[in-house]
Amino acid sequence: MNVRSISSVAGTLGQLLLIEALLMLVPLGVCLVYGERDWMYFALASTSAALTGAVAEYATRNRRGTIHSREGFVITALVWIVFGLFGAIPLVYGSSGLSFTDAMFEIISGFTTTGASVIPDVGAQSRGILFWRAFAQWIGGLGIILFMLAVLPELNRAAGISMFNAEATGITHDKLHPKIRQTAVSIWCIYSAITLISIFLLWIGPVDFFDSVCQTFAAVSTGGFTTHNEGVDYWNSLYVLVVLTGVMFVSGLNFMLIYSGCRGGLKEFFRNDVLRWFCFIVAVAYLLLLLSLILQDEEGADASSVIVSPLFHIVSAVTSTGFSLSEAEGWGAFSLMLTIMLMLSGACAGSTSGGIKIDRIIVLGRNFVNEVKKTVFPKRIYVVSINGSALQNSLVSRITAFVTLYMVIVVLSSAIVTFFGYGFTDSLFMVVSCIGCNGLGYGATGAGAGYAFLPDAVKWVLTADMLVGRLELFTFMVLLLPSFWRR
Amino acid sequence: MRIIISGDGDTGTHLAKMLSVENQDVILMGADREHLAELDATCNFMTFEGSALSRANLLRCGIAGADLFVAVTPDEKTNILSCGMAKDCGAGRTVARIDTAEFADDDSREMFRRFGVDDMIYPERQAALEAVQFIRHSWVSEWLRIHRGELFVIGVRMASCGTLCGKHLRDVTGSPRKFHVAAIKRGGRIIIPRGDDVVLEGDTLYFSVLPDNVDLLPGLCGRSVETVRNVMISGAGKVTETLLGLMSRDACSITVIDPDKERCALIASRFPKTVVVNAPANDVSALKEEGIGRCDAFLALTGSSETNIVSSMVAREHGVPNTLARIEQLQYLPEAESLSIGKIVNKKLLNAGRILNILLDTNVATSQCISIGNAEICEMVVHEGSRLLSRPISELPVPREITVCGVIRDGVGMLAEGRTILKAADHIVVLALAGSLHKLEKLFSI
Repeated sequence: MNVRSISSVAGTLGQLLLIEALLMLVPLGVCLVYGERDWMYFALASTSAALTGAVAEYATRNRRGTIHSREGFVITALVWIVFGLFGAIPLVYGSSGLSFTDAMFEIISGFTTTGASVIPDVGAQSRGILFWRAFAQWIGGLGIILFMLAVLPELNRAAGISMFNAEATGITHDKLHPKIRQTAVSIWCIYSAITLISIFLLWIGPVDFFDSVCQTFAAVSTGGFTTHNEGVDYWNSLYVLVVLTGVMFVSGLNFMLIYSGCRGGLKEFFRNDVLRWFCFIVAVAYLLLLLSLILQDEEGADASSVIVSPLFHIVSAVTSTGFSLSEAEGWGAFSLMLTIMLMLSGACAGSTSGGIKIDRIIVLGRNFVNEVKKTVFPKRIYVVSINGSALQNSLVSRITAFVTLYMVIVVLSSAIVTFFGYGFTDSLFMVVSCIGCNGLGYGATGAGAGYAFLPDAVKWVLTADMLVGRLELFTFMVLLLPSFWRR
Repeated sequence: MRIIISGDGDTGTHLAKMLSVENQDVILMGADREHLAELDATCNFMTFEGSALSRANLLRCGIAGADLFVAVTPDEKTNILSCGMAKDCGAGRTVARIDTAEFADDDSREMFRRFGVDDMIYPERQAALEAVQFIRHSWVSEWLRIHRGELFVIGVRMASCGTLCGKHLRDVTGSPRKFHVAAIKRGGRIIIPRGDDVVLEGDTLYFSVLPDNVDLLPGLCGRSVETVRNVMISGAGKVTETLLGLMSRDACSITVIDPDKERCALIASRFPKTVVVNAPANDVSALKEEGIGRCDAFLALTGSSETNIVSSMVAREHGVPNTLARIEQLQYLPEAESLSIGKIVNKKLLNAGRILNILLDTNVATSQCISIGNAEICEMVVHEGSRLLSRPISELPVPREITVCGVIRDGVGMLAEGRTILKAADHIVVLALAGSLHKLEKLFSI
């Protein structure tokens, strides 16, 4: 990294910070509407972001070089941290009065759409803070860079592509249109459309307007922050569960696929491998959970909630939303194991969900089958294909490396957490939940306590897991290579 | 505009990159999967793996809504056929790269137009034209004749003995102005100069001048004008063949040297006045024997850039004052320019200029467009109702990346002054840096 690269990284980050300053005006407005004092802290955060951004932008204006993939990686990785730093200001100084560690955990959990919360009493928070948490998820849902690609015309060039590649999820990063900006705008249109429909559906139900917006932001970004201590149980309504299940399910699909589906290619839409497997996994998981619940033979539960709640739980887990139901903790060991497996898998690449992604699991599975076949017929040629197109061997090995690395990080992080005296299941669960940007809690992090009472060191480990998981490992991992920084 | 380019070779890749920088919607079709994947991950355009000789592929790329289809695969028959198919599927305008001289004739063009090929680019001919210009005006590195010679844009390499060298630009433009420095190329970058810029040795200055004042330039830049009488050309390929055809009436003696016996025999039979030598270009003793020391100009036109660079330098060592090298690798260009090779010919840049011309022409009226590396020189037409009218040029909202070189009014060229007021139907010669083409379009659209 030389002066020019650092300048261009700093300059671009400065521009992005200016946008964040604008974004923070929205929760500021919410505070003003509800007459809350927290508006001052949003003003403080917004001003400091704007000033820092302007200084970074101005000081580097004549020294910037071109942004190649190396600078793209650095910008993308840093923007998530820098956005967190400034976004945490209202949480630290405002009415919630969180410590710096807690505030960073909370806001990174928001931006990465994890939805794990360290605020024990959500109901006591000001509306401005609640909205900011929800809004952070909504911005982070599709990715901060993708949002910026849509709003900053300056990124509509090769530099934007390298940042897009560093952030986008999945195996290959397809484009919908020749220009990256059009692609970003199309995806954002789909995202906004789902959001509006969901707000409307919740609003005509038992949910008030503010909660509809916040709950929608949490569902469509597959984040999972709620605005009430009871979570989604607060409304005690089947309608709400059904609507949220639908929204989460749609948000777990590849947005590019939804876009082409909307443009008339319904046939292609249903012929998509990943979509079929996603439906299949959800269906099988649901039936298995239902079966295990029937075998447990719970008493006093009414039929409709027995049918809907497990589906809600399954979709919430597989799409990495992490809305939790209080009753789910009593569903037993099989439900727990199933939840961990679903959290590891995640939904389709190109959606807002986290985890390994079904695309990769399909490739791994097919590769595995091919390897088995090869031992029997060593001279035959087998290719791994997805959606009818063959994958290059280099991609298959990259995916294998990804999954291995993912599991290694899970094991190491869990080891660190157990060091602080937490049980194996609890540790594994919270790590898988954070790296998959899921946010479900169990045991130590389960209903009531949440992530609030963990030691600071564990919170930082989990915060790092969330970031690494959201940017799909490699973007952060390359920063750790010494050769990356050498010229 | 939506542009589909077929052919992911050097030319197609360069075109796609250039057009995407100009903010066009570009889709590049090709067969090299790894190359395409690399481009897809680094460039702001889409790639498509598949041949353009397939209706299904063309339709999947959205040919029906495409404004321009450019076929630049190495095979001209593929190009022509795919243009025909693209036109049939609804492409707005089609361009094919060809390498048969006869196809570029007017009669053949008419036939091909019926077949669906609107334009053809024949880079060999353009390269040959460049070379001819170099032989005729050996002291310039760029010679653009605009509007039948009413105005010239001339690029000249600055020598240390030139009267302009080391001076501020504001000190050299007397009144009335006889020339205008439109741009300076320094170290591979093009600068639009202002009064406080200093001219350095080794810069290439782009002057816009009226035909009467062209004679001033050699003195200003410290170059001497000599008539070239003895020319040696290395390589007997298509460019050389076209060049010899174009030069058949000039009174200079040409020696062609090539290792391929059959090509040598062909050239010798078609151009009996030419001396043809069957020897490799790096055979120094053969070059000496054929009198390289007496030559006024050495043109390296083989297909290999490396051979061309080396043989030009060998010629330079033997005292040839004017050297030209054909260099196809774009990444060598800045290095080659610093190697004191007089002029460099690059077919990709020539192609790019043609394509830009066609592209601009579909939106705003242009008559000429030439690519000079990182900038384009275009002749644009001002229409009735344009916002460029009725205000002096100095007050027009011209972006920093664009500069006005000159104006042609009623068929008479003039230099642009700050106080000149444009009129409808004026032709304006502008220089626009790469990436600013859409601004240029916006400026001239009504």
